[in-house]
Amino acid sequence: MAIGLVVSVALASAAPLLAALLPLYLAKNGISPRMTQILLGISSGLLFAVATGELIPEAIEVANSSTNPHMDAEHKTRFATVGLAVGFFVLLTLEQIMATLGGGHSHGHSHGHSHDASSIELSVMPSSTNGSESLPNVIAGGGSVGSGGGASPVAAASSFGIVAFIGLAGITLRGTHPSKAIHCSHKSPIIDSALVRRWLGHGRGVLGIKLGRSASGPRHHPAQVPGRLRAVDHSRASSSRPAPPDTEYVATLSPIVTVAAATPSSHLPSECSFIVLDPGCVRHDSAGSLLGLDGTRWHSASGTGFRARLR
Amino acid sequence: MALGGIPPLALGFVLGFGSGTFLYITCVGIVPELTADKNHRLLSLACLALGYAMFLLSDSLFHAH
Repeated sequence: MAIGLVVSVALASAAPLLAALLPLYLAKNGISPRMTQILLGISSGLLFAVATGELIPEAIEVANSSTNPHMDAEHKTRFATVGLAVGFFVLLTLEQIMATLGGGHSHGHSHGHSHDASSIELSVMPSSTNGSESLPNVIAGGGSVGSGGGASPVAAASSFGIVAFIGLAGITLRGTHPSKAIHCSHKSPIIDSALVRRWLGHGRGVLGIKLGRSASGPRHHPAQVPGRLRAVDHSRASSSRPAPPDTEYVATLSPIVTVAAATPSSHLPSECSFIVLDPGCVRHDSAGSLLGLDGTRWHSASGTGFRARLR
Repeated sequence: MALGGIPPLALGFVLGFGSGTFLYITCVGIVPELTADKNHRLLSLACLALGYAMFLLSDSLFHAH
């Protein structure tokens, strides 16, 4: 086992050294633009694949394996994705700081005759260029900072980076959302109804809930804001763990409507109306009242609830 | 093994951080460089796809945690 570990460490140590020798060799012996493009393409594909195919899934899996009882799966996943954003922005900031100080990393973008002064990476060289002569240009440079193209390549790079980052983050968040469930605790923001409809509208039925108290006037609750809904995953309510004290409402319809209020019974809403998000699942509540519901109250250690069954 | 003491949430954050840096280097550093050369655009994109496929292939063959 010790030998295996030594071999693994030796290989891991040798790999970057060998990889670093490749550009040095190529720079000394010259390289055609075509070969440069091929190597750049393969290396970027590998980097992209390692990030999207290995690191991001691993990060989410590791974060979700946490046994922190105060966090649901979405918040755990967010740790990994926020780490992704922080890594991205740290490099972005570093590059901007270095560019401001005059030593930033910039690209010549293959404008042939103009080489980048501060670039220390392998530049595209004309095929007729002698390698031994061009190496100092590659390493030390002799031109001006940010040569070849002005602001246009920088703007294109930034735009592409931002678009790619947002797209990947969106795909990551959407693709790894746990079992298409909505988790909403007292700390979570109110979920937009269109988002709820898109995520849970297929086969899960109604998610929206509007609660109010007719006796003492409508209760001012964020769920009553038109067009915005609060929804909580039913599995959280049905688990043995008590809900956080200020988690007020739990709603789901699949096929039983459950409205749980972890508040004293005096605060139990005397009027409930459900906003139908998926008309194919339940009858449309045109009156905005208890249409289609047969409710019974129930009590438990965590609070008082109101359970309604669809007719 | 050596990372056993790190809480999973922190480890997830660190892994996400690493992936963010990888994505930054790829998207901001290399891909604009590739697309700037008008003569080899298709070749560059093909090589990028090839690199991605190479990783997927090697990962499926030799993947281990």
